[in-house]
Amino acid sequence: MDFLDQINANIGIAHKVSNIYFRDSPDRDDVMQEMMYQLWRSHKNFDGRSKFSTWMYSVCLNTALTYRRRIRKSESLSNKHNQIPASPKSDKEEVTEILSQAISKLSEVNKAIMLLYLEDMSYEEIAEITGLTRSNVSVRIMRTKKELESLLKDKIL
Amino acid sequence: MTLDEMKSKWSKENDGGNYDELTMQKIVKDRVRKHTNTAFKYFWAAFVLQNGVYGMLCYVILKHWADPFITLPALLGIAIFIPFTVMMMKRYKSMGLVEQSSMIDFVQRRRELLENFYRFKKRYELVLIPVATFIGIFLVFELYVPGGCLDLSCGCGG
Repeated sequence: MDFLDQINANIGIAHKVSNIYFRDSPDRDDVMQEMMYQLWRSHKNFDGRSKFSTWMYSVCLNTALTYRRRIRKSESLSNKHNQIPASPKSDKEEVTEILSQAISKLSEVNKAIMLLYLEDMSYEEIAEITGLTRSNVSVRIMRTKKELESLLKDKIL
Repeated sequence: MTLDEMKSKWSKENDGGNYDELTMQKIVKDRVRKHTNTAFKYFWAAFVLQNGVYGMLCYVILKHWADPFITLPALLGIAIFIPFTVMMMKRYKSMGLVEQSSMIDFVQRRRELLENFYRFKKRYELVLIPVATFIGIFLVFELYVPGGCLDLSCGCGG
């Protein structure tokens, strides 16, 4: 399987990460391109010791965090107000959208942890991707779940 | 609905539009251009700043040639900026001369050169910033802010 096939097989990872970190559409397109570039640039370093998806998550999350730091200063309030909510099609898509919106309100690291948790990744895999210890990951998941529940209070009842 | 129920409904699908070879090449070219522009914007800004510093210090040296109390710090100012300018010019020149054998090697080589320069910059600025600031303040006060310690020994100070 060549690089492009592997990317296409896991392209949802890049979309999910960009969707959670960048609710604003122009930034999302730009960060998607940056992610593709960073994946292309560093794919030589992928040694196959971990799963391709794990490696792809770590590259995409690092790119998103770097990009986020860069644009934070220039982020204006009006951008947030200009969002046009997309109309969800199915129940699954609606739940995914509600969760994505709630997760986007969490801190930068907790966003990544919650996304990986929702993707059914093990604590070890989350620790490997984020660079945190396993115990730190489990504590953060517990806390973030509570935070997320309070953010979703009116929606999960 | 609980959070765990929501989790079970979270879309784990990996779809979202595929990338073909041509699109990927276009993205890579655009990004390489963008990153190169950013790197060279820094180069020109730093180059203009350094030329300004050299020009200003040369002016001070020529104007106060007879006063070593002024010329020596000004010379030190020039001397401390020279290694930084030389290193910056060398690294950026090497970046411009990297042969484009394959796109990935070209990008990696440029990145190595840039990383190498920024490592040097980070270390060198630990010395450069305090020394340059001290010289700048010293010269400004020596040249444009007249005054000094109040000499009380003459008996007219208070």
